[in-house]
Parts: sequence; C-alpha cells; structure tokens
Amino acid sequence: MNIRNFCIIAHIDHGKSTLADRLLEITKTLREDEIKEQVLDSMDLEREKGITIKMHPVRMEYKDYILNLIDTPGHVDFTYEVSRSLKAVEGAILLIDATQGIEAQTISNLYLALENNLVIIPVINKIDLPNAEIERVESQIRELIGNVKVSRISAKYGWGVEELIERIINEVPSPKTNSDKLKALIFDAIYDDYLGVIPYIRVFDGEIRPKMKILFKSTSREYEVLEVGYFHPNGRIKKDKLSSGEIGYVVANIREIREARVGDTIVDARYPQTIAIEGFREIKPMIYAGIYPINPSEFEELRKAIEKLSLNDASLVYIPENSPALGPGFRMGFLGLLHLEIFKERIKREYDLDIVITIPNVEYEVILTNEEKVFINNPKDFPDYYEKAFEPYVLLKIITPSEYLGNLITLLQNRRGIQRNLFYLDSKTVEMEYEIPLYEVIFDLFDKVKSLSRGYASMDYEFIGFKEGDLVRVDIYVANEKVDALSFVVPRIKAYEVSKNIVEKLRSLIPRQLFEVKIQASIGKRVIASERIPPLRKDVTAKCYGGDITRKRKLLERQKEGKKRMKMIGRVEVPSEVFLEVMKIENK
Amino acid sequence: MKGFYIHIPFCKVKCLYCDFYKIIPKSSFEIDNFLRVLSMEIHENSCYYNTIFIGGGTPNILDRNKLIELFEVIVKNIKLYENYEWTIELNPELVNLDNLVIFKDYGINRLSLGIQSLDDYELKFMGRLHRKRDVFKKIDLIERLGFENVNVDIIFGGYFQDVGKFRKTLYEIVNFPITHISTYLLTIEDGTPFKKLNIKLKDEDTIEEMFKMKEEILYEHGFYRYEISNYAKKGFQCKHNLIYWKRESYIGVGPSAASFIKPNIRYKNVENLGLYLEDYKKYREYEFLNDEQILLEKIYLSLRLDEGLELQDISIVSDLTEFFNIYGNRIKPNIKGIMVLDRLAIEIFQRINSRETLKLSSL
Ligand SMILES: Nc1nc2c(ncn2[C@@H]2O[C@H](COP(=O)(O)OP(=O)(O)OP(=O)(O)O)[C@@H](O)[C@H]2O)c(=O)[nH]1
Ligand code: SF4
Ligand SMILES: [Mg+2]
Repeated sequence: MNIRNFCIIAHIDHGKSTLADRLLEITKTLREDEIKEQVLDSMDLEREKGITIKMHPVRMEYKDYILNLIDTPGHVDFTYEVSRSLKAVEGAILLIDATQGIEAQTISNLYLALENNLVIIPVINKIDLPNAEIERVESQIRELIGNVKVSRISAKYGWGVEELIERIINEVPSPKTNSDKLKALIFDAIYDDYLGVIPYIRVFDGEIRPKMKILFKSTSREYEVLEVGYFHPNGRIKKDKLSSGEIGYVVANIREIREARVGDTIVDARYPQTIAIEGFREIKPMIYAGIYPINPSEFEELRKAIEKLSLNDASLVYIPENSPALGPGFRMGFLGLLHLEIFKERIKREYDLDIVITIPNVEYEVILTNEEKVFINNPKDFPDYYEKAFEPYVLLKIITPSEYLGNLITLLQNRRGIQRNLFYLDSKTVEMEYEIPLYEVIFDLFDKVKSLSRGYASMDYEFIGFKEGDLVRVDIYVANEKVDALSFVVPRIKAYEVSKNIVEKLRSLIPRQLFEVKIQASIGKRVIASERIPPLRKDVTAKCYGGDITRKRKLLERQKEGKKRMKMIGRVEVPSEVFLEVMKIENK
Repeated sequence: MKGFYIHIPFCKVKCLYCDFYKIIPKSSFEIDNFLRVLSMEIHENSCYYNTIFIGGGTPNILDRNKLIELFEVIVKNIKLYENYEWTIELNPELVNLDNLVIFKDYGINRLSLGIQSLDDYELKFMGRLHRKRDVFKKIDLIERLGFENVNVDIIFGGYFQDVGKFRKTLYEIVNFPITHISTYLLTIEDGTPFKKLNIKLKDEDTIEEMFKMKEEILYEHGFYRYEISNYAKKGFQCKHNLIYWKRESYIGVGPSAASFIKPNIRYKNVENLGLYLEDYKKYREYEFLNDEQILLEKIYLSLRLDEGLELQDISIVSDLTEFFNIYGNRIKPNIKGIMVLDRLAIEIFQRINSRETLKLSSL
C-alpha cells in the first residue's frame, strides 16, 4: 500500500480548508455537488465563524495512493490541535497567503513542523487575487527556510493543485515501519453517546483489527476492539483492519472519558512491553476562569457536559470550586479567549445550559510570608500579604509592515513589554519579539495590534516562564456585598486605572434595580473606585388590553424568564454575561 | 358577574400607535359577511349577562341599517340582568344624531369616546381623524340626548406630547358632562407604525410628573383612580372592565376577542377576519392556566386595582415599603410603585411562589 500522510498548516485564513476542498474534489473523495466551501469545517460553530476549530482528518485515494490529510486550525488558541496533528504525519503543506505574506502563526507552525522532523512543502496560495505579491512572498519564504521549491496555487480555483498532489506523492516520505507488533498513537478522540469514546489513531507499527485485544499504555487497561475504520468527510467508514502507516479510528467500548487520553499509545495486549510513543508535551492553559451554572441545581449536568467536551478538546482543564457569590462550579483552564468563547457556545448549544463565566485571569506563583510556594489560579485566593509574587510571561512575536512599528512599540511599552529582538523579514516587513506579561496580552492586545496596524500586523505568543511583579488583588463590592468572582489581580501601578474602568463598566452592564446599587473596588479596606446605579424609575405598561389578560401576563412571563438568566448577588440581579463583558475594557 | 364583549374589527384609517386587530373594510359586502358570522357566534352564546361592551375597531363605523341589524341580534340573544351596563366605543368623528338615537332606543347606557387628546397637533401626529372642535360638538350632542354615563380615553407620555397641553386637555375634559376618564400611558407596540418610526416616550421624570399632575387634577374634580389607568366619579366605575380585572367570567365574540371561563380557561379568537369567517371555532386558541399563571394574573391585576393585593405574609415586601401604602396585610402601590409596577408584580410573584414551594417541600 502506498500511503502519504500530511497536514496543512498556515496562519489563520490563509486557505487551508479551501485547499482541502480542492483535494477532496480532485481525488473524487466527494462528488462535485457534495462540496460546499470549507466542507471539512463541519461543526456549526466553524461554519458560522468561518474558521477551523478542530483538526479534521480525512482519507483520500488518488491513483495508487492513499492520501491521509489532516486540516488544522490557524488561530493561536488552537495550536495544540496543530501540534497533535503533526505527530500523526510525515509531511506538512505550509500555506502562505500571497496577499498577506508570512504572518505570526506561519512561523510558529513552521517551527512546530520542523521540531517534528516533517518534510515541509511551502505553497503560496490565492495567486488569483489582483493584489497577490508572489515574488515578495517567495523571497520571504526563502529568507525563512532557505532555497526551497515554492508551489504557487489558487485553492479557490484549483490552479496548481494537481501538481501539488504530485509533489506530495514525490516529496512526503511513505510511512516507515519498525516492527509488526501493534503500536498506535492516539492523537484525538471524540465521544459518541452510543459507542463511547472513539480514539483517533495513527498506526505506526503492526495492525489493529476487530476482536483483537489491545492495551492502553498509560492506564494498562485492556479492551477488545469492536470496530476500526477511516475518516470520510461524510462520516466514519468501517474497515477490516488498520495497518501500519494508516490513520483511522477504533471503537472498543471505552466508556470512561479518562480512559482514552490523547497522546497515549495503544499496543497489542499480548505484548504489553511494547515501548510507548513519546506523547504530547503537556500543555498548560494560558488563562483560567470560573464556570458556574446560573441555576446551582444544574451543577451535575454542567459537570457531565464539561467532561464530554473535554474529551473532544484535549486542552480543557477543570477542577471543582466553590464561590461564596456564585455557588458551586469549576475553575477551568483555556488556551485563550477564543477557546473560552467556543467552549461557552458549545455548552449553550450542545447542552442547553446557562452558565456564568467569571473574568478570566492568568496563573500566579506566590511565595507566602511563611516561605511556602503556591500557585494561584483564582484571584480571590491571592493573598493580601506575601513575600514575592510572580506572573507568567510570554515571548510575543509580531510581524508587521514597518510603517506601524512606532505605534506598536509604544503600545508594547505601555503594556510592560521588554524588547528582545527586532529584524526585517524583507525591506517592508518587520518581526518584533517582546517579553511581556501574559496578563497584558490576553484581553485585547490582539485587537489593539490590529487596529494600530490597520489590520496588517499579526501576532503569536508562547509561554516562557514566571517573573516577579508588584501585584495586588482588587475586590469588587456590589451593594456592599463582596463578589469574589469579580476580584482580579493587577500590577499595583495599574490598580487605580483598571479599577475605575471596571467599576464604570459594571455600572453600564448591571441593569437598574428597584433600589440604588453601589459598586466599589477596593484594595484591602481602602476603596479606590466607586459608582452608583440609580434605581429603576419606570417599568409599567399602563395600557388596556381589553379582555386579553393573557397578553399582558405573557409579557410579564417573558420578563420573568429573562430574570432567570440573572445571577442573584445579594439582592442584586446581575446578568450572566457581565463577568465576561467586564474584562473587555479592563486594559487600556 | 358575567360580561359579554363584541369586537367590531373595522376602522376608517389605522391610527399610528394602535395594535388592536382591525382592518379597513374594502366593501360594505365584507361588513355584511362579518355580521352574518358574528350573529352565529352571538347566538351560540345566548345567556344572561351583566354587561355588554361593543368595542373595536370602530363600532360606529357601522351605518344605520347595520347597527340595527347587529342590535337586533344582540337583544334577541343576550339577556341582561337588572342594573346592567351596556357600553359602546365611539370615534368622535363618526358620532351623529342618527346613531346616538339608535343607541338610546336599544338600551345602551354607557358611551366611551376615544378622544385621546384635545390638541390638534397631537391628534394629527397620532393619525386620528377627529379634531378638538369635533369633540366639543359631539360631547354636547351626547349630553343633549341624555346619556349619563360617558367615558373619554386619553393618551399621554409620547415625546411629541407636551406637558402644558396635557394639563390643558385635562382641565377641559374634567368639565365635560362625563363620569369616567381612561388615561393611557402610550405604549409603543411591535408592528405599529410608531414602532417603525422609532417614536420615543418622554423621559421618566416627565412621565412621573405627568402622572402626578393628572392624578391631582382629576381628584380635584371628583374622578378617583380605581385602576392604574382609570378614573371614575363615585359609582361610575366600569363594571365590564372590572369583570376582566377581577377575573370574573366573560365571553368575547368577533375576531381577536378573548374569553375567560372561571377558574382557568382562557381562549381567544383568531386575529384574522378571513379565518374567522371561514371557521371561528377551528382557529380559537385555548389556554388552560396552571396555578402559577393564575397566581401571576391575580398579583398583577390586583396591584393595578385600587383595592390592592392582600398578602398572607406582609414581611415578604419589607424591603419594598417605599413603593407601597400598607393597610394591614394589604398593599397598594403609591405613585413610585405604579411607575415600576410590572417589575414589582414579578418580584412579588417570585417571592410568593418560592414561599409556596418552600412550604410544599417542608411537608
Ligand atoms: N481568492 C481566493 N480566496 C481564497 C483562496 N483560498 C482561500 N480563499 C478564501 O480565504 C478565506 C479563508 O479560507 P479558509 O480555507 O477558511 O482558510 P483557513 O486557513 O482554513 O482558515 P482557518 O481554518 O480559520 O485558519 C475564505 O474566504 C476563502 O474563500 C484562493 O485561492 N483565492
Ligand atoms: S385606535 Fe381605535 S380607531 Fe384608531 S385604529 Fe385603533 S381601533 Fe381603530
Ligand atoms: Mg480552516
């Protein structure tokens, strides 16, 4: 069997999923009439937002070859999806938009692929566009990876895509086998209500077939294989076996979500000593937030929903916690705000649960006055007194047309960034590298960078370590009631400004109540910002609906329902979105 | 007590704020068709009642013959107890000696005149056909014919309305030979031209000021508030509307008319003349209220009425006393409370309701 395994990597929107459409079309994996734009983006959310969120493996046949393609997301929050996809393949198509050139995730994804010793096929896409700058982009690529052959295509119109397939066949090595004893890597998994956990695997050695006994290395648990198969855009296709080099799925009556971890190795149960494949680097969440059911009695349902989602999303981290203001819930780790946003949407759509999400925060490392070292991922636990406090820093990469350099440097200075590197990718394009507190990055830096560069700059960041900072916890009081879920940690020099903004924002977000509501921010006992929400003055329909009593009642019932989506904090009704909304101004 | 309502779904033009079900009749034939089917529905509800209310739409759009045809059907089928109240709603421009005489002949004893304002600019703005001088003329005619129980409707609170003119309108109407005044705070309803034109209300302070002013002027002249929007001289409260508000039974006929059968059945005719004519029973929508819905209705209706709401446990509103006058276990919203009455109704409902469930669960 002739197999080629490869993925498509790129900066967001450079056309990965569109190229996948053409590949599916040319290989006749889908009929022409079955292809819609970015057909692999099958989740509702992906289609709505027009971006890829999950990796999408798919098998194609072309001439005498089996081509296993994995389409990957481009957004920085989903880099973990890319890095896992890369472990399952031998080659990567690095796509670059001819009108944008090299952008931040182009570089970070390229490095990821190089770390995995993959063959890289650089491809310039969107050459059909009138503002394509093919020569310039090609020289940028050469600057980055040396003198390589660069393909030019239009994924939209299919130009050059058949030649690209030939290149894949010629340049991506066929998978190597070292042994005939089964060894397969779990690179993803989904949960099916009927079939249980379904791991997605890449078979490296041997083969796997129904009725076979298999063993998971990290748990040492054994299962009998019920079904194996591969991925077609329209669904899973059963097969009698998967052999070395192939990519597919296994059904083995795995009920517990914890039993099938991505990164684990599946081996033949008769040979439990088979050495595991090196798994994935443990990924650390970038941000944390409290997740609470609006209705505390839905805690159990929420737990189940999170468990299931975390199976489809290996990067979710969660532990139960309790908030005096919000009741029982979870503290969850996310890879970024988009990741959090997607999580929120899925909980709502797929599980129909109304939740409150608190202001996201980063994790702190604190040496207490008794010299003990603790990690704090909930601001309310940040101590009033401490020896030393450390906050996470990232290495931030921004690629920008040089004319916006000045703007961006000022922005990054205001955000406590320290310049580490600055060089020209070509005469017009600069790459800048800054060490900067993660706190300064997560909320709105991306939007600021985009607006200061008229949308031209792109950015990417990775965690580099903790650094000491002068940090304080600010508490928020609503109607004299401390709301632990709104506490936040800031550098002392920004405490006043940030508190003022938050308190103002809360005033605009909390609807007027029957009584006046005071909102205060304080450090310890000292109030540093305060606002008041005047009481509601008019809420009455003094109209006669004749005998249609129902109509008016329904009006009230609707208002009553609206109130159900509010969280009571003391006497005050707070809309559940407040916590997430409030951060949108936090950082200027 | 039992009420009977008849909906005449025709108007000459559509006022810009109005969301009652009405159409502009295309032909006299259309009205005949309607009267024919309406007669069937009236006939099916033959029985004794305490009140009749003919509303719309514009009931006095019907010409002399059609009015007589309708009234014949009514008096044949709808029997009235002694001390009955029989009201008809009228648009001023269509009031004339002819129809007033017919009303008198058939025993109608209460008229309700939709004057809305006594300022011609405001009337024009709202798309009304009559003008101030029509109102004076028609009120005069009505008095001369000896109608002793008359209501006028007015609307206030739109941004296009003026506090000074409102005061003037009030002083003029209190001197009319009338017994009842309905004062509606303008509501911008979905689907109305006002909604599309994004017509706004006056700010909260002004509305509260207008409310207080009207209360003062009306009380001075012997009109007392017995419902959030309704004022009457002693003994002239509208019996028919009180049936709605006190949750007594009533039957409504004609498209969009609502009915209530104690204790918990509500139904409503379809808001579509064509479907109504085709088969009014088929398109009726029924509702069987559960206990929560009944409770919510009782709360919001009682709070709007002068008698207020009797609570088993007055302490559930101990933090809301600024909104009420309290008489023993009875609460009556003051002006501050009236201004936020919808919110208060929900609040009190939730508090009573959670008590009830608490009680149940502790059993
Ligand atoms: N003109 C033109 N537009 C293209 C081409 N390829 C992709 N596009 C457009 O670029 C946009 C992004 O394409 P996608 O295929 O969704 O990009 P992606 O890289 O998969 O995006 P993410 O998965 O979100 O990272 C879409 O509007 C495509 O129609 C091309 O060759 N020519
Ligand atoms: S307010 Fe009266 S007259 Fe004006 S459209 Fe409505 S029903 Fe007809
Ligand atoms: Mg995509």
